[in-house]
Amino acid sequence: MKVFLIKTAQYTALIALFFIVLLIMPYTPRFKKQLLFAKIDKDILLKTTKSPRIIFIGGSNLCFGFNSQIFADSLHLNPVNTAVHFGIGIVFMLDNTLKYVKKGDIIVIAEEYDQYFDDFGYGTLGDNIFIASTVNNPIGFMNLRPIQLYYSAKYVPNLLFTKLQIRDYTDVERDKNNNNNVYLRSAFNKYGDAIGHYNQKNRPFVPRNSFGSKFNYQIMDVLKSFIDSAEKKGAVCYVSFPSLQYKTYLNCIHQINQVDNEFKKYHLKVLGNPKEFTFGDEYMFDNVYHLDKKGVDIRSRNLYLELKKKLAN
Amino acid sequence: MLFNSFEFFLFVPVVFTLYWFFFNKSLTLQNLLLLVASCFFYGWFSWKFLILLIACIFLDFLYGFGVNSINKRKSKTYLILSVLNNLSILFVFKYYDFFAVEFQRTFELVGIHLNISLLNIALPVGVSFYTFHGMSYVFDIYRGIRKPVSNFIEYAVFVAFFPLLVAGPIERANHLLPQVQSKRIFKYQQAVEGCRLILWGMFKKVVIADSLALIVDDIFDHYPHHSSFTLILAAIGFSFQIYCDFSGYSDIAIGTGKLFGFELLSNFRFPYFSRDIAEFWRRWHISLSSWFKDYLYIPLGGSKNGKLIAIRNTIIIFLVSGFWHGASWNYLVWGGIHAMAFLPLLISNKNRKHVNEIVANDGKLPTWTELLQILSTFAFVTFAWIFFRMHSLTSALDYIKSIFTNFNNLKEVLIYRWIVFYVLIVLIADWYFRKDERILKIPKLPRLIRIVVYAAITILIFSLLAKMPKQSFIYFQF
Repeated sequence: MKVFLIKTAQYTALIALFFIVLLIMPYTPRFKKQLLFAKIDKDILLKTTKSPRIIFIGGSNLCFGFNSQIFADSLHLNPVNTAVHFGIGIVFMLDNTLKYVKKGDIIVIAEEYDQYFDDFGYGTLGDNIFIASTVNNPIGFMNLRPIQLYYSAKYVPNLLFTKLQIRDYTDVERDKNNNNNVYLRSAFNKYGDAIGHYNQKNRPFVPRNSFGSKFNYQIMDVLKSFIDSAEKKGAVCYVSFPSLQYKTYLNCIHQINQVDNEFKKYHLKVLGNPKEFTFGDEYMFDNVYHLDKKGVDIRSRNLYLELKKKLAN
Repeated sequence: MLFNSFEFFLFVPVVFTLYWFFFNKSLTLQNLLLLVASCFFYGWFSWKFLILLIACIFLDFLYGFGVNSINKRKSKTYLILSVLNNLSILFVFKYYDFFAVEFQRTFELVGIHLNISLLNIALPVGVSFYTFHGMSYVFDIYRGIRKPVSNFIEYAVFVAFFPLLVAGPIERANHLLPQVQSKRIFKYQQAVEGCRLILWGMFKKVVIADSLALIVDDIFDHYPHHSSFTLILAAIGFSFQIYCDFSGYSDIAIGTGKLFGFELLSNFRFPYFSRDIAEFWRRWHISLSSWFKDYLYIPLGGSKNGKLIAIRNTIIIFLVSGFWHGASWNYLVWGGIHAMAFLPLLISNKNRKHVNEIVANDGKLPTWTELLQILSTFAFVTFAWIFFRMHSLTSALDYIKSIFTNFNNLKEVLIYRWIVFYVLIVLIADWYFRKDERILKIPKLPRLIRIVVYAAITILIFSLLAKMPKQSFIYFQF
């Protein structure tokens, strides 16, 4: 048994060593161009933007559906749109932002409905959360919660192998004319809003019928805990709803109402109602949450008016 | 819990550690841990069906005592009860809806409209396997081959031992129970062989079968749009996909068994090097073929009561085997086709021509005759797999028709050349190891190179596990 254990340990160590070397290696220059690496810029924004600030937290419904300039012009607040990708999960977004919250900050959380169902909020969507946690620190994943590590672990080996793709070092610009170049780190403006898709044609997509199977109350507890901690630091927190395709809204109305009701049950400060942020297909860019430029302006205006009402009270 | 899942990679080391370090004081403790671990493993799929599994185990355990009665009549009654119990579970979960639909259709042909409601219930994972375990136990007691087990935990471990619970190998009471009933002692060589088998099984499943599935499934699902050559290549690809999928599962099961001190029955012995269909069935899903032989073919009279009876029994065996795979006509046809290929060998007394000897045992390559025999057997098996793979008889026939009619854009086949690459890997490895069966045992190579080979395979498996869409094992649906 002893020999077996020693040999197994040696073998495991050898495999582990290989992956550790890959882990320490930086991501390839091409890989670093992708959307998730915008987190680096957004963390800098969170760190350096001066008060009075308004911080937006959410997934891609916010980065692909929001115009922070309206808030800068009308409320004279300095906006920081932290949104990158809903796949990293609400828990990661909140944990990451909390470090940077300052006294006087206004925080608006508008998460995709998926975040409140099943374990999606912990970042179950592929390797997104692992990438987001390691964009500027190869061992940043150690700050993840155990459940987040559990969901991301199986994607790690394949992700690390991308660092060995030689073409990603030699042909960095090969996506230049690609239709998806809106999903790049370079697609964001100075506030963190994605603007790369403004001049692109809307793309067809299929409406959704469900956001998951079971409402996750643990996520609500995480959200409540974030709000309590942020408010202890002297910030004011509001929750709101994501931009959403109207057809999907009709298909999933029960789940959406459930989210709305839970916000009320937890006594959160809510901006608007779900229907207010729904849009016809003519305003949607490429999925049920992403808006085109026309939609972006309407949505941002609606949210601004809701916030203005609250601030006046 | 799938073998090719992250959970399984955590589960096995945890159970292994508990088993050899904390529960190794007595046989009861070892078995108790295995039973709890097996329930956890199965419950990961569905806790509801775990209740069904436990009920099955409990009933067969009780029937065992009744079957052991000295009173022949009483013994037979309990045997019938046990068989009825197991078959009724299979019928309700697996066959009821099929029969209901066919019954309705038959009556509709004569203008009578019946309204039979369907159950539409999910098939419990592994039900075809664990019911067969239970039946083999009571059959063996009835035939006087073994006595009933008095310890429920021991019997439960025999049926529910997690490596073989959901897709076999279908074990025999006589083979596995004595191992369950004696305390396992750690053997280094056995554990190392187990690790090698797990590694090779994972390689076959994750690297070969799942990669082939990505290509082959797409072609099968859109077969009318593909050319003749592509359809032939996809059929070959599927032959290797199902082989690597199921034999990969079996290797992982047998390897995991070894880690816990068990020797499980062999399930595959390089079936695609068979020289005729009879040899193929001695090398493919061996535990099922031999189960049917022992518990159906021989009780029906086997081949000892004349040629006609033997022919009848052979047809029954193949049809039942086809139907065991699923409640659908295409499985029956698949079994029937194999029976038709087997019968000429049986009639001409050539069905036992290649029993134990291995092809090209003395040389490195097969003779031209052997090669021709291997290729023709493989071609036949591949043709039959089309019926197995398609979801209906009509689509299977249509697929075959397309092979003979879709001659436009034949060059399209080059797009799918990766199928050839995966097939060659399996063929070369199987040919190299065909005399030994202990795949990945490469003592002739220097230690460093061996480690590099093993490490490369492990890394490849891990890297593909995340990349591939999560693929269940094909045989889980049976």
